[in-house]
This record gives sequence, C-alpha cells and structure tokens, in this order.
Amino acid sequence: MELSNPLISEYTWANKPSVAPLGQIICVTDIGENGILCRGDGANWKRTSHITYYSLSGTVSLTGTTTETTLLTIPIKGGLMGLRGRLGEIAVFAMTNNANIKTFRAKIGGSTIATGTGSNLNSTRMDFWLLNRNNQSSQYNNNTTSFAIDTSVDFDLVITGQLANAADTLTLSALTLEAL
Amino acid sequence: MQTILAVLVDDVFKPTISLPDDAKLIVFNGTEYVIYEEGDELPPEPVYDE
Repeated sequence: MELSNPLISEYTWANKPSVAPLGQIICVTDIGENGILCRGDGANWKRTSHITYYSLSGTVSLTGTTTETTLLTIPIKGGLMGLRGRLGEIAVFAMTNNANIKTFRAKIGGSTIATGTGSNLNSTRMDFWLLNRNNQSSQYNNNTTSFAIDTSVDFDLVITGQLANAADTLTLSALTLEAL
Repeated sequence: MQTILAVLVDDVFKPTISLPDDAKLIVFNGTEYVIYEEGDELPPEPVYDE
C-alpha cells in the first residue's frame, strides 16, 4: 500500500520554492531528525513546530593539549531561525575529576554565545539559548548578552574545549540542539 | 579508524576537514583527531575520577 502523501512535496532547505503561498505545506527533508514540515504564510516558509535540529551520536574527547580545540561543528541553515526564532542547546561534559580547570565554549563566528568551566567534578552541563529579536541579525542569549549574528545566511555553531592541564580529559558526552 | 589532521586557526585547533557525524568516538590527542567508527575497537574509557 502506498503511504506517501502526494499533496506534500519534498524539498531541501536550499531548493524550497521562493514563493510560499498561504497555507501551502511542504516537507523539507534535510533538516531535523527526519525532515520538517513548513507552512507558507504568503511570503515565507515557517516551521510548523519546534524541531530537534541536531543530536550528537557519539562522544568527542579532548586530551594532550592546553590549546582551545574544536570538538563539534554544527552547520545551521540560514533563515531557519526566522525573525523571532530561538536556538536552544543542552550539552553534557565528562571530565577528569581534579582541581584543574576545564573550559568549554559555544561560538558562532567570532561571538562566544556560552562559556562554562568545570573542576572537582566528573561531569557538568552547558546550556544556552539564543533568541532572534524580531530581526535575523540581532540576538540575546540567556545571559542577556546581545549579539549581531546574521542568521539569514548559513552559519556554524562550534563547540570547543580547553584544558588547563594537558594530561586531563574533557569529553563532550551528549548534545542536543533545538530550533524553537 | 581514521585520523584527521588539525590546524591552528585564531589560536583554536580545528579539523582540516569536517568531522564525521556518525562516529562512535572522536579523540583529539593534542595533534590530530582519531575517529572510531562502527566495527573499530574502542580505546579504554578515560578514568574521570582520580
């Protein structure tokens, strides 16, 4: 039995129609865990729901250096956040449980969106959100720090780690990124 | 298992090519990224509690 819905056409985010008729629904196949539905508002395609944009499948460990090191890069589609959209991230780090500082950061371009540190712990979290302020190039994060990141074009969210002592280990154990 | 070289850009180590999205484990050892995929023997778990 054929299950596909011929009334909902499939596109990628890049090749979706430039015209977004009011009420028209499309499936964007290259975003989210298994594609997302978007509905035209007469001008733009709007996500019909919150989505899990990215989930880390394995783990990423850092050792052997005190230089800041990229652990993960998440490409984010331009325009996905929209005018008033929000990115929300939850990350869990495991680390050598000693007094040495371990630092982790979330960055977009030259902007550090979130920073966390850990010591005398074997695990901790780094959570943040980034909210467009009715403008795709103006944001606040959860610390009310303002940013001017152009989210209308593709950009990368980069997670880095840094050790104070190269003999220690810092592991990105889990991460999920949502677009709300 | 494969390795990906790192390059220092603006005082941050970055991989020279994109890291795979489906690796079971990635370890940066101070000079390169070591990628463990399905079927690879994983290294011992780090001891976090000293």
